[in-house]
Amino acid sequence: MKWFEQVGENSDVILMSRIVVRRNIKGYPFPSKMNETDRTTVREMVLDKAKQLGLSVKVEEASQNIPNILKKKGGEALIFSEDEMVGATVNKLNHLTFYGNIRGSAVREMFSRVEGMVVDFENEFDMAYSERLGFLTAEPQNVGSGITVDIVVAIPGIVKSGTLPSLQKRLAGLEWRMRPYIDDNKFKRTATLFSLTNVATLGVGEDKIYERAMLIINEVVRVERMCREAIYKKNRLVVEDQYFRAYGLLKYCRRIEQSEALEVLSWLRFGIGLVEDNDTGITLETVNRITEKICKESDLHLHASSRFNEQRAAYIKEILERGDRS
Amino acid sequence: MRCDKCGKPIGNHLIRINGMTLCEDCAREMGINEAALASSAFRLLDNELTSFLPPIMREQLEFSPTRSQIKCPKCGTSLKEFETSGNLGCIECYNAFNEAIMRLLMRLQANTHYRGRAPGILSEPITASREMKEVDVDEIGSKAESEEAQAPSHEKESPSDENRLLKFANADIGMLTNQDLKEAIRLAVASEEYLLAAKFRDELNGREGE
Repeated sequence: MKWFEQVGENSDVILMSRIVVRRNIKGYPFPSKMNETDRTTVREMVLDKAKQLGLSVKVEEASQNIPNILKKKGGEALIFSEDEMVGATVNKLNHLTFYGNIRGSAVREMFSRVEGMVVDFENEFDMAYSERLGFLTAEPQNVGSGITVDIVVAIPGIVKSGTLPSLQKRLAGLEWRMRPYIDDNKFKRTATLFSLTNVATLGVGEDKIYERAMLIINEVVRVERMCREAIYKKNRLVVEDQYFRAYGLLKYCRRIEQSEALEVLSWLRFGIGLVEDNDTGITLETVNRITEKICKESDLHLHASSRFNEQRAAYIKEILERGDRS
Repeated sequence: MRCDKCGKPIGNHLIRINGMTLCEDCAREMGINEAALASSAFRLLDNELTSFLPPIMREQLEFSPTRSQIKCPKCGTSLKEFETSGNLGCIECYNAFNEAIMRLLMRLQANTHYRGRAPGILSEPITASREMKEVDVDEIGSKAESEEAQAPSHEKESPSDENRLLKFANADIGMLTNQDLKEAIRLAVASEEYLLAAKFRDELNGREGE
């Protein structure tokens, strides 16, 4: 099963978690300054090793499900595991950019898989490394461990209860950063999807980065659930009303804008598991699936065109019906 | 912003002529008249302010005109290129632009020392247990002690105070009690680690606000 077909841990709050680890091979300039021969040499070296490790290799086109990773330029490639959960891009911004994607919050499993893969490559190649700065990357802000952990959370409860500023403060204390997942002015006020990322790659070890990631995941999940329950207890009728309206709107709309769809989805996520006498039959998985598809539009720059509103309504309906049947 | 002609960073007084951005010196060289040059509102203030600065800081303000012409000897990336794109060309760039990179890292991460694993060694299985955390803090404390022995320039405090501050600095800030935070602020101020002190203060203020 591919990673994006799985149901994640804590998926009522955590949409997905991503890890990126950057490495460069000693003796070659970084990809932006590489010439054609260097590019091909590095690519072939990496692909040979990848084949030895039993990874799939793609030289030209990226898989549909890994967006924005490959743009056509000589000497680039993509390697990935069978379930496409972990992999690496070759000669993009760095020689090797390892990544791991997972639905929900099972960061530890993904971390050990990605790290295992990174170490396999480190043992094969002499990596650019300095005692003082750690692993050298093309972008100096990532020098050190070269690791970025990115957690996409849906936190309507925290936003609606006004707890967001204290969460932001808490994250800043742990040297993490929070920004809206869809970076668009239209969503600024109503955004409930956020991406949480670590800032520090120096001064903290790998174990600390992941320890903090897990601490943050646990805390956000706990607080978000508490907020949702508290709001529901206080304004039961309002939440139920919004929930069922949201369902009706998604199911029967013929055109829908991206911002409206996301707002409505956040109410659905809010209500699932809380609302009593819930006869809609909609599952968290369906909600997450629609959310992901809508978020992906931003990558493809489809969201701006109003023509797309009809298509959006159509695919939402299709996913909803598929979810109802299963 | 940098001067298009000499590449020196421009302060308050920039001059735009025919789409070119020039610094004061280059403008004068190109024969722009003195009256136009002197008309900047900040000029007097600028001169006054810099005269108050200690000589070392004044030196830091005066960049060498060749600064943006610094190039990485290996891949040829210029400092200007790095400042615009934010990306480096090769490993050697870390030496060539060391100063700029360190400044950037201090600003973004407030740290310039790597504490992760060495290449090719799988890190310990991650556990979120309390024990692990304590071992971690102790290790960093002892590491810092050995670093301290090599650099005896900071002799302002007794080592125990410094170690305690380090422990606070490396501990998970959310786990510290209010008492700890107050103590940490005191220690940080005593050792002139104002950034750190501000971090603790913000956390403390944040808690009182809740």
